[in-house]
Amino acid sequence: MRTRKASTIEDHLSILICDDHEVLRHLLRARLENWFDGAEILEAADGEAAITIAAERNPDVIIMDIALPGMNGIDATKAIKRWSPDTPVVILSVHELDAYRDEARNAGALHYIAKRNMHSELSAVLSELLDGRTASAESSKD
Amino acid sequence: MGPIQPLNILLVEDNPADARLIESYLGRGIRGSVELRTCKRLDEALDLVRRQPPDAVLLDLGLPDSQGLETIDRLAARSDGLPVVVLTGRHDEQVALQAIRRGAQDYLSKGAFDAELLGRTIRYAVERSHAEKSIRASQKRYRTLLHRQTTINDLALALGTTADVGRIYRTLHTYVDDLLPADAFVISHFDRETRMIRPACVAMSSQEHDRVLPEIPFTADGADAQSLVIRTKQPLRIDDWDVAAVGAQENGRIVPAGRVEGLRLVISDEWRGSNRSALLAPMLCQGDILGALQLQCRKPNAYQEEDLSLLSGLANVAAIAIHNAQLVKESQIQAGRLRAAFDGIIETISAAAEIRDPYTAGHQKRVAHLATAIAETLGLDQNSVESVRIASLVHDLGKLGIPAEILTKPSRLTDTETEIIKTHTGAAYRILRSIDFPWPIAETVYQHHERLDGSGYPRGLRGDEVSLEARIIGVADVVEAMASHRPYRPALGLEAALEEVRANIGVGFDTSVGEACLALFEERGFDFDRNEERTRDDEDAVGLAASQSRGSNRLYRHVTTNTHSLQ
Repeated sequence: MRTRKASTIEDHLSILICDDHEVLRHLLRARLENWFDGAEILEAADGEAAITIAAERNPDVIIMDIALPGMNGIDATKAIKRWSPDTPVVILSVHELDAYRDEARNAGALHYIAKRNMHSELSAVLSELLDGRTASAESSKD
Repeated sequence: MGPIQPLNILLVEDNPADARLIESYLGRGIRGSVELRTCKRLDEALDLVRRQPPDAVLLDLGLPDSQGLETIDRLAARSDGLPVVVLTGRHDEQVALQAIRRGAQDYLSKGAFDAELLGRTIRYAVERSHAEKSIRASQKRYRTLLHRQTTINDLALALGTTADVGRIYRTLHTYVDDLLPADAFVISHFDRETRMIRPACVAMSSQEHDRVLPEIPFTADGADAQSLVIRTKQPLRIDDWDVAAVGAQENGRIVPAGRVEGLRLVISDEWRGSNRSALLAPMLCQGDILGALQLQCRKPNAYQEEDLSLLSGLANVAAIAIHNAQLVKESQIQAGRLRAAFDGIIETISAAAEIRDPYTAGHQKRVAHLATAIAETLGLDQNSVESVRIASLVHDLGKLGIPAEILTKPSRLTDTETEIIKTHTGAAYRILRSIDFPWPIAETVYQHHERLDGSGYPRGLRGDEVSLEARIIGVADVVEAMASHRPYRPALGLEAALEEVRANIGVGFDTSVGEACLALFEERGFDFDRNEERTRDDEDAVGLAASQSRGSNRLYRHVTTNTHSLQ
């Protein structure tokens, strides 16, 4: 198994976006770069790519769409959680039914945000997750 | 120069022989009269110091009730800054130096000094002590001034770029309250047009709470304190209203009571209540007077000369912030008006395009409703959502150029008629491209019949060539059209429309757009004719701009009533 975190990326945050829609991915990237100055934004267009990038780059947080070509975001989340149980996954979807939320939670996602609410909710959720992440990364150095 | 006071010296010495010797030295060594008190014990000395502080103390460190350096500590603890000269035994320099470190001014070794040295040592000790005292006082004053300057800077930072006048008033009040006493705090606004001075923010102490301040007319001859400050643009200090002891700052100088620029003043007490002293500063921004800041205190003589410049500094910082807030408000009102005009024009164009086709009346509005909802569901930013909304409202503008009989034809169109219909996107493009919208409206409208698989018209664009806005309107257009009645067919129904979306997801329709559209209907019960609650947080900005187009006067009054009782 790979080492938990390569020293080269220990310095700044990295966030993986998984969404098959290129335009939406770019919009989200722009927003994240605005919120988290200097953060490294990784992109995956489908579930398989997300699993690979998650394993290779070990991002601080993963933002996952549900409807993806091939493997859906819920299954991709399950796979990622098997390999890196500590990596937080936030589902960002157009769907708002409780059934989706339940599935996401069972798959191991920490948060579920409707895309239309991302303006108000995503930044707060990420700040909370990433603050905890950097704090624990700091303390594990000792 | 007043008469020379006798030098008051306290000698603390338990050895009577030493005491006598020093007494005789003092008589010869100091010119002028000396008042000498002598005691043998430290507790006696402390008592004498308490009763009347001497100009200097001659202190033997070895006393019956106190020995060594502790003696000087105990004396210093009871007499702040009192000059002490320590008397030590011969060859006791180490002790002497430590005594000085603990606050003694000087030392004398017994047997090694004469009358002249004693006299000089005492005089120097007294003078040094005076000098230290005045340095301490000026340091304290400097610290106070520094604190005041820092406070003015802090206020500027705290006010920042806020456009909320009420917040500016409250912040100013907090800062002033921290530095200056006040039973009443009044910010008045000078209305240049009506020539009235209006209390804009009033905070009273609990005793003053019920007082209501009326609007007062500005008087050009400055018969009241407010008018005077507003006219002269100078701060004003009123030491005691009861004895009309008025001092006005003119060119940085306090001029005698009742005389400002040659006028005899009768300072009106309209806003005074039972308060006796007051401090007023003009609120100036780029030389323009916005109003005045006034503090009142029940005590007379509550304010010092330096308070004038402090209050002026705070008032001017606040004035700049208020001025900026007014500019922001005006530009928001202006933007709100432009925005309303723009919306009106778009709606007119939208309606004009539908006049010749009554069967599809409201189609563009309904498409705009759905397309906007899809854009929001996808999480697009406010600006992109607005782009989708405007383009939707005019997407069929090109139908103005299609013969009415084709548009309203109750039977199926011929191939030629269909080709004519297909020219409407190009026609709309040619009209809209000449308008400098802040969004790509013309291009979006041009593309709204394109499909990702290249099956659309007029250009047969594919995939990435079709913009996201056009993809959204394309889906919304089809769904609305199928769900509604048309001259040539009854409504196919919503379910058929959604089935069409499902069938075309990933073919002609964008997957995410189609999915968002289905989620809207299936999960959130979207209804074309119901105005959904606006759930997005950043919608508030629009409502704000609209509510601010009511005029600035009302906003000011609103602030007045809301901030009347800050405390």
